[in-house]
This record gives sequence, structure tokens and C-alpha cells, in this order.
Amino acid sequence: MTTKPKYQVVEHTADVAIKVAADSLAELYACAGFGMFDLIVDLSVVKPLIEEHVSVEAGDYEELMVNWLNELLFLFETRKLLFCDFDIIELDKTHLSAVVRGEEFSPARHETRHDIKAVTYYGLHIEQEDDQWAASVVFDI
Amino acid sequence: MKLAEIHLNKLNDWLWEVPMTGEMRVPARIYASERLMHDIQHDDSLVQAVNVAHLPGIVKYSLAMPDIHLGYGFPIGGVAATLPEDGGVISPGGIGYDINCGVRLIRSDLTLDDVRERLRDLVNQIYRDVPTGVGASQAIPKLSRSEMEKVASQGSGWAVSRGFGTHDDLERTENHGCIDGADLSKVSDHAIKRGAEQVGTLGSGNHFLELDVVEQVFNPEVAEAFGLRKDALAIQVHCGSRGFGHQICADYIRVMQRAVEKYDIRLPDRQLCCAPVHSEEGESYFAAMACAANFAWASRQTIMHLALKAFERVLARKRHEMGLRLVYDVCHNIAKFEKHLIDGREATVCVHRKGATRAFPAGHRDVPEAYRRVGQPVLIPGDMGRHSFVLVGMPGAMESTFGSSCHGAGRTLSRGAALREVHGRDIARELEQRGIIVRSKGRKTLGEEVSEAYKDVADVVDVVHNAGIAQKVAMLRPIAVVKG
Repeated sequence: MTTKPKYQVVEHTADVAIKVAADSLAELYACAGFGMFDLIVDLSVVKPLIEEHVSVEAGDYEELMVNWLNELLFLFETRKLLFCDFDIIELDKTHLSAVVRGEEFSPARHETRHDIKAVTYYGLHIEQEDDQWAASVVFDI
Repeated sequence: MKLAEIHLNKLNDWLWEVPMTGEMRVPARIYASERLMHDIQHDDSLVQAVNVAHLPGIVKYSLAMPDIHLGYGFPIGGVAATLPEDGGVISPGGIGYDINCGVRLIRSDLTLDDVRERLRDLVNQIYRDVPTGVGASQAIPKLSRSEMEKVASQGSGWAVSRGFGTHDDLERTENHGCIDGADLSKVSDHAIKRGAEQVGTLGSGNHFLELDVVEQVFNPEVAEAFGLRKDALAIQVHCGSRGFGHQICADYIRVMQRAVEKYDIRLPDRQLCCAPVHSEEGESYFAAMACAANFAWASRQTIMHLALKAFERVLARKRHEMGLRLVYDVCHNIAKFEKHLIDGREATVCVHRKGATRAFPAGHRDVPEAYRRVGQPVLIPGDMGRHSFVLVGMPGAMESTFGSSCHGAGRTLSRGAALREVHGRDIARELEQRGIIVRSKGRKTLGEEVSEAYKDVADVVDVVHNAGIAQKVAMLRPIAVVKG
């Protein structure tokens, strides 16, 4: 599954927030991953050269979102990996596993936008209306 | 509660109160002038101050400083004290992701004339030696786990033991640069991995290293005690615990999500999740938070050393010959156990400062001996390009704010709005034209951090000065800024 990114930046005085909308829950998590990395660098110049498996556990969908994005952030900070492509393989309320693709961060090619410290729960609700899923995520920067 | 439902009473020219309603356990009190209060109501930060008033065991007031702005959970500029013996909680969101984000001020005998010809070289040298920007790493070689144990348990003392400073520096750091009770076994491998390469790095966002000139002295006696003289050069460092602290906060917010169910704590915002101070979760968080606080102190001590080495190299003089010495180092994202007067008796409370600076007055036992006669230095950096202030803690802080003051200017525009505001402008050039050299990794950062995005720090400082919380000592003018 290749994701068609759908996210928009929402105004927040001190930090940065995004709103994501998708046709399925899996796509929602994929879009949020894309949105977060697009806040860090311009993803249009990042290529899917390296593949990683990511697996996270949580108590509910909101916590799953926070843990998923924080895990991706961990991979960026410790291994300097930028991801642009997100395949959600398994997903239920307490578990998400995914194959994510991207490349190593290169300061010469990737101009940085934001230093995201963490993903917060502030105002985080995952909602379903008809066939659409939506979420807002506030990042601490 | 929504912003429109908040009933705000003006108590005096500098103080406002939201009375207790619903399930609030205490009123909320906000320090602000009429003009600042007008700005404050542009976002939901007052709602967040009201939300904090719901924390179990909170005493007296949910407080907000005049630089209050929208955070997540707590407002930035929020102060809350809880009484552990009364089921009081500790909330990781009340400290924030950047645990022990703080400011360090270094004084000198140099004047601008002494460095003018070499200033650009000096700034370039600092920019080379202190890693900045997104994912900044390896100011010093990557640390092993056992070395991280020492950083986490010794804080600034670890840096001094590595030769990155002197014992006098520890004397002039809040808590001597180390909080007791740190336990690295309470910290995840994820956090240790993130932190291992980041000691001594500035990071990005609003963090900076700045060269300033003391432009104005308001209180000569106290300024003299702090070693600040008019026209002398000074250095400010603003940064925190980097990925190490961010991961610790994220990990424990996860723990606290379970804890609120376990202890049946009802809160208006999930990000306020918490556990009783005296619970397994509360104690583990404090032990982990202390590791991050100590990491941040070790890091600022290391950055100071790297900056002073750059001075020595470029100006070819030893640091003591230039009178380069630490004035003070304060943290503004922290939880501390402190003694305060509650209902007429002294009690140990857990003071959360989320974007607020400790401001202890003269005579307090925790003020370094060198300053005990005058009070603790309170360091308030302005935004990029505007002045910073040095204040001194006053008795009013102990009486009304759990010994706390403001921490900075406080944003008023979102980053997006700031970028729209500066569209088409060359901020680096504008700053250069005003005599401020800028070195920055991210072009966007400069736009987002432009002065117009912040309240005027002078307005913020006037409130705490007039409210008797902290008094103005000196004002610093920036001449060079290194940013992420």
C-alpha cells in the first residue's frame, strides 16, 4: 500500500500541530507518520532506499498513535533515518506493525524544518465519521 | 471548560484570578498586566491554567507567570505545587519533554572594543565547536552506558570531573547542578541511546548560545555581586536535556496513562496524566526525571567549556585573564521538593515549574553563598534580537509563587503565523544591520523565532518586578546569536 499523504498544519502558539484524514485507520497512521517527517525535512527529496520494521503496543488508538510516532522519532534521532513511505501491516487497538522506508539524513541534501522533541496527547482524538478517519496531533518542538 | 466560560477577576494591576468552579481544587492565578492579559486570551492557555487546578493534592493556586502561552497539558509559564502527604501528584507534563531546559549566564571583563575585530571569528569558532540543529550530536565522543550513569547521577559534577569547568561553577549552579535521587535503572534503553551522543549539543527551536553586552544596570549593588558591569561582554546558553529528556517524558507519560486508571484520577486533559508522588510510578518518574535534569546540567556545563575554549583560541588569552566565569545556571522545566509555607506551616511540596524560573530571595539557604546577601540570580532571555534581563529573587516570590518567576518572553504568534509575517524578509540580514551576527542551521528557524512572534520581554519582566516576585538588576543586548 502506498500512501497518498493527507495532512495539514494547524496553528498552535508554541508548538506545531497537524491534522490528518484518511479513508482507513491504517492510512491514518501512515499519513501521520508522513506528516511528522515532512515537518522535520521536506520529504519530496527523501527516497525510499532503506526498509525498517516497526512494531508498537498501546492501550488504545490514541496511545498507539503517540507510541508509533515516538518510535519513528527514536529511529530518526539514534540512526538518523528519515522515512517517507509507510506500510501498515497489522493494526488493532493495542498493536501496530509496519514496514517503513526512507533514507539516511544528509544535512547537505535535507534542509531541516523543525526539531520535534516529542508527540503529545494534547487535543488528540482519533475519530471516525462515516468512512473517514481523522486525528489531530500536537508536537512539542 | 472553554475560554469563553472562564470568569476572570482582576485582583490588582498585576494579578488576576479565576475562582474555583466545577471540580477545580484551587483557584487559578495569573500574573499579567492589562495589556498582556489581552494577548493571553488569544489562545487556550487560561483553560490550561484552569485544568492544572484539577490535579490531586494541588495547594494554594494553579499559577501562571506573565509569559504564559499555550502548551500541552500545563500552559508554558505554569507553576503548581502539590502536597505529597495529602495524596499530591507529580505530572510529567508539568515539567515538559525538555526536562531541565534552562539558562546559563557567563560574565566577563571584556568589552565590545576588546573583541570587535575578532567577533566574527569568535562566533564562527563557537558555531563550529558547539553542535547545533536538528539531530545535533557528538560535541564530545559518544558516551558508554557507564559514563551515562555518571552523567545521570552527578550532573554538572560529571562535566567538572572531565575537566569541563571548576568547582566554583557548581557553587553557582541551581542545586549545584545535580538533583539527588537519580536512578538510571528507571530510564529506558531508548532514552539512553538518544542521550549518548547529545551531551554538549544545543539542539534547535528556541535554544541558543548568545553573546551579549550589559547595556543597562538597574541595581548596581546586586549587579556588582553578580559580577555584571555596564558595557561588559556576557554569554548566555539556553538548552535542555535533548532526546534523553524527551524520551524519558514520553516513556513516563505512557506509564502515567495507566496510573490515572489505577489511582482513579479524573483529569480534564489526558496530557496532565500523573501519579501520587508517593507511589511506585511517581517515585520512578522522579528518579528518571532527575537523570534528565542532571544530564541537562552536564550538557550546559560542557557547552560553556566549549564556548570558553573558543574564546581562548580566538582571543589567545586564558579564560581567567578575560574574567570569564559563571554567574548562574537556572532550570525552568523541573519538579523540585521544596519547603514552602502552606496554611501557616512549613511543608515540603512538589513544585512543578513548566517554563518558570526559581526566584529565591536574599537569605534563602539554597542561594549560593556568594549571592545569599542579595538573592538568587533569575535569568530571563529575550527573543532573538531583543534584550535579555537579569533579575534577583524577592521575598514576594516565597509568599505568593512558591519562589518562582517568569522564564522568557513567551510566544504570541504561532510558528506558521511568524513565517507569514516575515515572508520575503531576510531576517539574518536585518539582524546584522542592527549589529547582531547570526549563525543558524535552519533558515526557517530564524523566521519562526523572529521578535514579532514574541511578547516584549520587557513587559513580562515589568510584571514580576512590580508584583515583587523578582527585581530588575541588568539588561543585556545581544551582539551575536548561534542557533539550531
